[in-house]
Amino acid sequence: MPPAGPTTIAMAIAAFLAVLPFVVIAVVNIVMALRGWTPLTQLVENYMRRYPMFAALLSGFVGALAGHVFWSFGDNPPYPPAPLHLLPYAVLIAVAAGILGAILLAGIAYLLDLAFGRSTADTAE
Amino acid sequence: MATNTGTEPALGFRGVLSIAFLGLAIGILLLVLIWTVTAAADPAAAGCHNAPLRMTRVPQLLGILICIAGFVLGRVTARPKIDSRSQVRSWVRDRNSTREHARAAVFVQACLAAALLFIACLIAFEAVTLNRGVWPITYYMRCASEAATWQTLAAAFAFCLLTGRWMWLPSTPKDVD
Repeated sequence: MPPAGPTTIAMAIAAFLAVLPFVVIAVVNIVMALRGWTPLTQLVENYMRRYPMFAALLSGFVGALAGHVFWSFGDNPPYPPAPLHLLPYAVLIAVAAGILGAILLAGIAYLLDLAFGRSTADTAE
Repeated sequence: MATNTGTEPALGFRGVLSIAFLGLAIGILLLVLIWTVTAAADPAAAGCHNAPLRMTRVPQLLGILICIAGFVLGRVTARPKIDSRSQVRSWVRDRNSTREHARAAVFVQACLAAALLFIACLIAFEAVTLNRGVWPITYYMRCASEAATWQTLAAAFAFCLLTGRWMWLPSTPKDVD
């Protein structure tokens, strides 16, 4: 096993990100229980029942991620460790992509409404 | 069962039990969080190769089988069919409040948006790192898998369990209110 080095920091980050979601879920659950809201599990299950394709896509993402990490072949070249400043850069890209995606979806929905929604309403009237 | 008194309603037995269990879970998770981070960041901790090895001390197939086992176990332990919506309503204190219902719906949507944003950030980070020729996220996970194989597999099992528990659900009953 290689000695300690920058890679142990990488492991600390990975470990933190692996455990943190479960802490967040537990904290959210306790807040909901204190307020007497419907349990988080029930809310999530209701949502996933309503949108089964979305649930399938998320499950597929998790499965693909597990396969990508634990079951991989092909090239495995060495790289230098990632500098920390790339993280806020990636967050900015993700937020910008999210905003653009939302605008795009809104535009598509508007066009669909123009094409089908109003004509359907007119027919109904 | 809790009742709505007009002010802050009292917690029922189920509520107290839930909060006690969740408090215990948070305590254990925080201990695990502190332990994993400090153990990994310890200068005496074992590191990994660059690039991290994909063939660890256990066969790759075992990792996949553990993930599948977590997913199936999550499905098996998923909540059985709810007999009726009134059964779910009985768990919450303010059963008839549409405002509470709307608030919960917004809360779930916000959580979902946050989760999707988190995934988008991960994917963006993966793309940026690959573009710059530095360690992608995959390497961080493989590094953990190489240096702390069983702990990483345990985390993967937990994620797959949660996925199976929340996303591979029993069929919905059709003839209930």
